Amino acid sequence: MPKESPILVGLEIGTSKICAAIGEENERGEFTLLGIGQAKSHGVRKGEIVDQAKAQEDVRAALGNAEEQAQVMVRNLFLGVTGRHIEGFNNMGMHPVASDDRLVTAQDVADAANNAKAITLPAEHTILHTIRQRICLDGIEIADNPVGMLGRKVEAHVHVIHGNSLRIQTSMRLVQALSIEVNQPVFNGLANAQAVLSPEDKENGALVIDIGGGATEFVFQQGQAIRQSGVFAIGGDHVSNDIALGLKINIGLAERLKIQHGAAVVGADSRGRSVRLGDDDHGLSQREFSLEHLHRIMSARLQELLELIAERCSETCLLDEARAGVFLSGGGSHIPGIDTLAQRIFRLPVTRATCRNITGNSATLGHPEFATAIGIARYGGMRLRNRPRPRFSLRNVLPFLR
Amino acid sequence: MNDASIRFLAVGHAGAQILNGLRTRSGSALECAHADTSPESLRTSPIDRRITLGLSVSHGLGAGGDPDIGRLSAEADLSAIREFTQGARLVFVVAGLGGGTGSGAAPVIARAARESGALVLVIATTPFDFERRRVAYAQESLERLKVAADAVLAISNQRVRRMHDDRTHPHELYQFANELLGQTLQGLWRLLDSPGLIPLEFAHIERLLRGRHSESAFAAVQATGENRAHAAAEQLLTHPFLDTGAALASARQVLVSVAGGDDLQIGEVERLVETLQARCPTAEFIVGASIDRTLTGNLHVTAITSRPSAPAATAWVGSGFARNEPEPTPAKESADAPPTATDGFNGEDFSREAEGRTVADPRLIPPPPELNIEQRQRILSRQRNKPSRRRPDSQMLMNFDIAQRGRFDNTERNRHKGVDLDVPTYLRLGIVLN
Repeated sequence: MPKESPILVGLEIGTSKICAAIGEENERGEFTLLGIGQAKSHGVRKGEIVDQAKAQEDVRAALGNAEEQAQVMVRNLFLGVTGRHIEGFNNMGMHPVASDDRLVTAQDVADAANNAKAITLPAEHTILHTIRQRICLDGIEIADNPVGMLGRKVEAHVHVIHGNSLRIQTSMRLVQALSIEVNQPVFNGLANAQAVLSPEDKENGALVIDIGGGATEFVFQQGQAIRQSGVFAIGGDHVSNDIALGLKINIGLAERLKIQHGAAVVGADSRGRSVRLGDDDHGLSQREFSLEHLHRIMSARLQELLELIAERCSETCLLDEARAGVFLSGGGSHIPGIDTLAQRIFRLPVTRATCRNITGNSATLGHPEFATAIGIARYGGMRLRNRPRPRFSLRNVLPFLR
Repeated sequence: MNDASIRFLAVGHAGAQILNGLRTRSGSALECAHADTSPESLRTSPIDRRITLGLSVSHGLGAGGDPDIGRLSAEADLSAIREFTQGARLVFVVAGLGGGTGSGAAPVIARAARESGALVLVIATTPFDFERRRVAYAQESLERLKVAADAVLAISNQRVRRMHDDRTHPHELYQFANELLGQTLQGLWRLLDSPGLIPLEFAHIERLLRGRHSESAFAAVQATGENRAHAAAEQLLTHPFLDTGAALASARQVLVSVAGGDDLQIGEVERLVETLQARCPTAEFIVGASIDRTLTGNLHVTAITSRPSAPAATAWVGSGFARNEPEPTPAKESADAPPTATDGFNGEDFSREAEGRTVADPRLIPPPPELNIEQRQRILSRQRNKPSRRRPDSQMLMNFDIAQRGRFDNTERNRHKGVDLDVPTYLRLGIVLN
């Protein structure tokens, strides 16, 4: 293995499954997936760990699978984090150009970006990512880099993603307990977008929605900048739970009903129809369920979820700027009719996401469920690539992609 | 300050009783007078100088518990009052509120005294809570007194009642209350009159009491023995009239007057004040110390605290209180400038065995926080919506949420704009499944 291509490992501790992706990157930044491992998750609710011991066992299993497939030993990894405590928002930092000749230096830009980070976070929250959106010089947007230009004041517009440091630490400690070093926690939504968006999609602007088991992350990316991001602690679990409560069945049966007969929209063909499904495990007799009720329950939940995202995005009024459209990822993107529903809400082209720009096991790549883990590994690759070069602190906060 | 400039005026029967208690205690010739509507009460009065009020109004029948008659009577004989208060620098008006004469006449008399140029302090008792009608009269009268006088020290009989058990004879209670007020009066008077190691001047008291829109609490304690300074401080810090020390903690100014015999040590004063200061680090301290040979072996400490007042409407509710009315009183400002005449050591022969001045603070209301208009309105609107405390609690709402969260029952609530997102959407939207 060449020196330049370190092993990159991404780990996603999800609500329904724990997924580890191992890959490597060549000097041109092309990513090759070496192995992927997964395990059913037991100790996670709504994206956050609730049972440390069970979660640790599942992480061990997932990593073991991936190691076996990739034939490597995992020493360190990038850890994906999510949960409703994670929030993204836009901020602006300003810095007056200090020198007499008004020549903008790299330090000025770095200071402006640092000022943008100087924000009042909720207690015990820590910044996960600070991503540059654009740099303005005296109010005029600069295409790339203002260093060397003349001006009075540098403004750095950034997107800050922050989360509760204790909860982030909880998942980091869990991995560290397995004698594996955590390079950096990475927001799942951000990682997911890196895996499913092509450079053209990014340039055009895209909204990536990852509907997971317990939480749904969304990231609006345009160029290298993140315009909006966030998490709603709503996922497939909620859909199943709604079905279980609405149809008065147990959660396991609700889960099966959702997978076998579920839909995100109430179609005309489901009216008056019913399906029969039995509790095989307990040998109980089969029951009949109204398809319309099932779809109505699911539709209400999913529509609400997507509307929440649309509402959050339109706070910064940029939905129309997503010219590449909406990308649906995660287990929730398999629900029939979800694209129709999303199209109706966002009024944008909707795509079911697949992993892009990655070589490796193509069977795996078609599954958007693995996109997050792969994205985390990719994100790690970008970070590592940028690491040897940083000469000023701006490197730490700006490019996560190049 | 010579005695002639301080005058005591008892209004009504209760006032005479309180004033008499003080007179016998102090043993000196105080300038006292008893003003009353009832000739019967005046006839048996222990006080020599008597002023009959409103003979033309009540025809010698007394006020009969009607404050209006008390007020009219006082107004009818205002000249007699003026004659008495003429030339005084400080006038104590002593009254028991709730009856006809006390409630009705005291505010009129206080105003008259003030108009003659004196600083007017009103010392009053308010009735027991079960005396419904009288409580209402007393409350109204207190409001008037606050406007008429410079400071009002009121002690609630109800609070005195709380310091006694159920078997106490009513007479004992009244006596105790009168005693406390007598002590207060005496303490205040002594403070002004008696020369000190560390002298306290009239101006100090006036500054504390007048024109500050403030509330005051008073307490007097007495201690003997080896560790008397410490014991006195402890007593003060737990004194019921200082709301068990809370009045000290919230005080802006604290005036401490220490009186002892020939054995008074400056170290004691120091220790005592330091102990108190530790309790109220932000307060401004005014310390006075005086010597009285008859007190040898004893230590008497009087503390007056003052702090910015809470709204007047609620302030009086508890018990005794002192409240300065906001209006400036230019007439007397000139009077407080000269310091006390006597200076240095002076073994006065008054037998001031107890310097208890005890007028309690009401329920202590902490100073209101600084609020902007928006915050204030929010708080007000919240209070307006609050149901009356007297009303029994309304029926509790059943919490439907619990049953509706399913497998998320034990997880953190998924709140978003006031809605719990864990509750199924179709339930929240009211979609009927049928």
